Amino acid sequence: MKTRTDIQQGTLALMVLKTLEVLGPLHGYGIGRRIEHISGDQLALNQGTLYPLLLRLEQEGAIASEWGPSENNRRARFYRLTRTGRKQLQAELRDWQQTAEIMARFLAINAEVRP
Amino acid sequence: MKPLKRLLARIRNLASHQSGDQRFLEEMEEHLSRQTEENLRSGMTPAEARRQAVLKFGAVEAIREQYHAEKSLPFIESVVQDVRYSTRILGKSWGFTSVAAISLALAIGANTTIFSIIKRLLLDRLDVPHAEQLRLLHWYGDRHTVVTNMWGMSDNMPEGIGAASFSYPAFETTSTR
Repeated sequence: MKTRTDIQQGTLALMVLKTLEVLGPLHGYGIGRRIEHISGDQLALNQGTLYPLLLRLEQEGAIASEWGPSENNRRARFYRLTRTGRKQLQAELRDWQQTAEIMARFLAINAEVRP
Repeated sequence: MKPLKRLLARIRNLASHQSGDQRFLEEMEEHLSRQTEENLRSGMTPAEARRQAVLKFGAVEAIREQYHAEKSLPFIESVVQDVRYSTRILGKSWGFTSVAAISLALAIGANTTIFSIIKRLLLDRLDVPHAEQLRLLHWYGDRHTVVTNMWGMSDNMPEGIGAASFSYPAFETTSTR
């Protein structure tokens, strides 16, 4: 059985922003499901931790939220990306890709290849 | 910019007493019921479906705490709470409060008095015009110097005598120079 990985600090915010960019306005449950789904159920995510994070992103101005009708006659809080959020997403994507590239290059070096 | 916005939002929430977590509770309820429905569809019994949903959500109290800490400024909140609590307790026991207040007042008063005396005597310049021109004069004489009786301290050294006080004629002579 595969062990599930913990999410690295800070990457969850990026996942949330990306999810909202791709899917448009969405409620917390939807965001959580989407993140699980994309990660192929390899992430150990306590879904509840999404809500403090969503609040934080909202207070930073990256996302906005409002009540909306949900299926089955209740209401759910829908989150959407703001313009600031879009910019933040672009910046964080760049940073992340850069880090990933550096790590990949670093780990690809074998004993024989000495630059 | 981002931290500033976040701070402002938290201050706003604190000031408008919107630090409650009604919204979180409602969202959590919605989340759990959706997850439960999902679990039911995958064939669990109702009780098990709910249980699994709660498990997946995580430690509710910890998350609620986190949510609350994010929404407002917990430090300021707890300071306000402490102040409120201590005023209530002090108001309850008047004897203790008055003894504490009186001893504080006495101690502060005594300190202030002692310090102002010390300040006048030791730290400040003398309260005379042109205090910067004051000099301390001292004289020395050898073993053969003859001194009449005088007030004040004198230094009796093996090779002679000296003092910081002068006879009146000596004072008159120096002050006219």
